[in-house]
Amino acid sequence: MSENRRQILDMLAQGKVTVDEAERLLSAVEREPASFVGEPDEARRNDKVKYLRVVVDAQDDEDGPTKVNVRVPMQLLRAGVKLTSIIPPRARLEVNEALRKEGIEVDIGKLTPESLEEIVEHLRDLRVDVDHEHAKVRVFCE
Amino acid sequence: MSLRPPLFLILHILPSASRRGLRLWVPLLLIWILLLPFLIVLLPVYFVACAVLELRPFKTLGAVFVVLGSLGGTHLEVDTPSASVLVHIY
Repeated sequence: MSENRRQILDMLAQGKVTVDEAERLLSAVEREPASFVGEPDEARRNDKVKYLRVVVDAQDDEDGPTKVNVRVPMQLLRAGVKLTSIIPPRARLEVNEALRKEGIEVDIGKLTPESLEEIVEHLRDLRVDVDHEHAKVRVFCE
Repeated sequence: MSLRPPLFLILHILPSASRRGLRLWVPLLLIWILLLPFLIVLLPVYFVACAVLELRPFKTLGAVFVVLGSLGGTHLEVDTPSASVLVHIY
């Protein structure tokens, strides 16, 4: 039994989740790729995150089913960092100022490939699962 | 990081109402080769534009090239009752 399944069943036993919620959580856990089950963290971390995936499965009563499957290479995100280095200094100041006004204290001129790699590494654990009556949305990295 | 620009594009647009749709297999490599003479002719304009916009021309070219090289593997698939669209870049 995987650690995730054990935790979900423990929460059910303690009454922290209802049966329906536990079932949904177990379904979400079962959808995870089998290669991650029991795989040592270090071995998994040696594999670079290659793609960002968005999968949408929607069912509309009037229009019918809609499926969306998007796969974007992470290399595109990494390449985007190179684009920030060509922004003219004047424009960079304006962008930084606009970000500061929104409460984001980031200097886009100091965004390096190393700092981006750190962000991408954390994206490895990104899992968004939205389970709605009419739609299922999954966002994850692989 | 790959510096190879995308070589092929597969594009399918299939309206469900009709059996016919658009199925394209685009050899992007040939398009890059065909565009190359035009790009060379436009180079002086590019350098002037970079000077006006305070951009570094060679660094900008390199960045654009890297972005193009990163497009490989992009996959977009939308399947609705009215139409199906598939775009895949190799």
